[in-house]
Amino acid sequence: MERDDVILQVKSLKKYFPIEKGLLRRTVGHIKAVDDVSFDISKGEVLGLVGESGCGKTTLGRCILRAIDPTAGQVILRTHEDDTVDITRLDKKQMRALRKEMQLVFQDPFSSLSPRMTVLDIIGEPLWAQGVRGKALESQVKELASLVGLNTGHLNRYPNAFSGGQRQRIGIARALATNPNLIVADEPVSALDVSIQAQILNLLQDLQEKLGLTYLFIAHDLSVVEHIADRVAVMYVGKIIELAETEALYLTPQHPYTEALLSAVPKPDPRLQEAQIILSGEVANPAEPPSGCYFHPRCKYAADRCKHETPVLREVLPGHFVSCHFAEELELEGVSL
Amino acid sequence: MNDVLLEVQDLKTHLPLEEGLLKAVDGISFTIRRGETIGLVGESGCGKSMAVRSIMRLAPNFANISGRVIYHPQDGDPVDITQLDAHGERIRAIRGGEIAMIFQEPMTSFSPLHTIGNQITEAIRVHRTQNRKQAHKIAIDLLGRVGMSNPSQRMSEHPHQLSGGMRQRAMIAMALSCEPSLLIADEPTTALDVTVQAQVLQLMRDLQDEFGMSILYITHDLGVIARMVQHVAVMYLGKIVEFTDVDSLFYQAKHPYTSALIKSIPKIGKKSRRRLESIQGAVPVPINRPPGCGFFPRCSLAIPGLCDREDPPLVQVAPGHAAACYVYPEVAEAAKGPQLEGQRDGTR
Repeated sequence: MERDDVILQVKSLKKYFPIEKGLLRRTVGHIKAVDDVSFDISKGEVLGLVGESGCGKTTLGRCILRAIDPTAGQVILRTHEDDTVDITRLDKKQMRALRKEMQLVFQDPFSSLSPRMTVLDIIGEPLWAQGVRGKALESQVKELASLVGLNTGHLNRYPNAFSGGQRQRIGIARALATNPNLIVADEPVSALDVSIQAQILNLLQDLQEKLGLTYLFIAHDLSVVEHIADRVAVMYVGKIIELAETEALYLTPQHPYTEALLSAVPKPDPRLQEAQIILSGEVANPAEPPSGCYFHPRCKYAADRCKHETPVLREVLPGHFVSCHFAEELELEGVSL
Repeated sequence: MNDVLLEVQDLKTHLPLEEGLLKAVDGISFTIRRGETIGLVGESGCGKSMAVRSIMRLAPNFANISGRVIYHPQDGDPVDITQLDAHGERIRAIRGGEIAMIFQEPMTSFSPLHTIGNQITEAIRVHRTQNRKQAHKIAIDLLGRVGMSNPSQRMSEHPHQLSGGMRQRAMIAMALSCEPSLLIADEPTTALDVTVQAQVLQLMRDLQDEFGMSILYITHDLGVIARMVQHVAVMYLGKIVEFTDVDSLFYQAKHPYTSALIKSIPKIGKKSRRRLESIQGAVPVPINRPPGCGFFPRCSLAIPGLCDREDPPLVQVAPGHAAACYVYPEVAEAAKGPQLEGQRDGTR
């Protein structure tokens, strides 16, 4: 798949965690947290990454930022100078220089900000690391703070003086400080109250339009992802099982897991309570995944072939990728309006 | 037969803290009938958990609790739970026996040291039967009914051996082991994945059909409310600001907070790049709160000089629909006149 203006390309990325046992810590197996994942993101695009807990979405985000080293595969980033770099091959020093191109917004605004640093120091730290000092630093921090809607008079306060929503604004300002090419937002609103979620989602959206930002937006909440993402990738046990334009994925899903996931979301409307698809069992254990298609033990459409043959991600409709043997034959239901 | 199960009247839970007086629950009233499901919805810090803890007599010892919580047993006289000895026999018989509770995080509500079987049979032996064998049989039967595979083997497992969904099922089995008349569910699916949440919600509905108990369902998730309950109380800063049936809540919300909250959540299947309608500001901490409506600083309909002076009472503004907001003349009228018993209890 060739897309225009690609800013990030992930190719066959894998992250296996060893399972060690016994006195000698022998490796007895691997948890395939991320298992052969490929996708790309264009400039100015929001790619949503959804999946249930343990599906590997956070590990994938961390591999892309190289917060942890992937086992195999490539992560190719286009920098501001229009170079393309495979960041999995960089050494520590080169990586340090490249960090400014990619930033992370964390889930928990309470544990991701140092309680001993003032807001000025927190937002200014990435700038300091890039060599900005003194008055220039302060004026840039002020600019960032007002960009995310913080009161610039409060910059000498500590994080404990701020509410959850405001702390998340601080985290976003810190991520924006180095003018990154890519922002990975890992569950940025799931720790926030309902009435605050909307404020932060609006902020992320406004910033994206104003600054032309590119997001990898990781979340478990399908309604939030639908609201913000241009395209959505669904992960199940370390693999992307469906990837499509948001509307296509939500209205005409092609994978039975996506169908069940969409059906399971409780809809905030008492008149739309049609029967849900209730999956039996739970997400497969990534240390001992089932044979064939990982989803087959829970899939109501599973046939014999699904037990033996692992499906690959393939394009069934233009721009709509799915890994299911029977994608063409199944008539799956999307979200009903 | 009286079909009222639990009446909460003007319940207040005030916590004297170093920082000041925290009015966690500040005068709430509602009624639960037999077999019905009531939802208590609100954001974190609105007092919904403290309200049910006070009902169960599980609030901290230093809390000042006033008001009445009248429980009507199937047979026997009504009891005011707030007047019972906090460690006495009667409250211990009610708590866990007639009123059971399930919590958000089943990992922390089970003891990690004892097997699932021991913990469930303990509850059964306290409330139902002294016979060890019989209790064991009841427990296995319940674990099977909440959809756990291989229940007799699960009995000898410890909580850490179960997944989150399975732990919550075991928790539900334990809560139902004494066939309670009221099940209080405090965010029971918040820690679960969405497909597992769907399983647990379905299970609770099936079990309610089977056992016929009432459910008081506490959550912040409006999607779960729409799916599970018949009547809803919306809480904000320790008070109920709206009480109505679930359909009216989503289609004819009367309180500005409720309607803003419903508008602020992204709806699945309605893709648009439009901005969400957010509520400005944040929920204030209810310590040393100034008088007036708690929502006043964030409200788009606020009337200065009225809303910031005195708390609006919860008053019926449409049939079966109560709201605490001065935009309704009934509310302003009730605030002026002497407060009648029926108006304070704005339920039905």
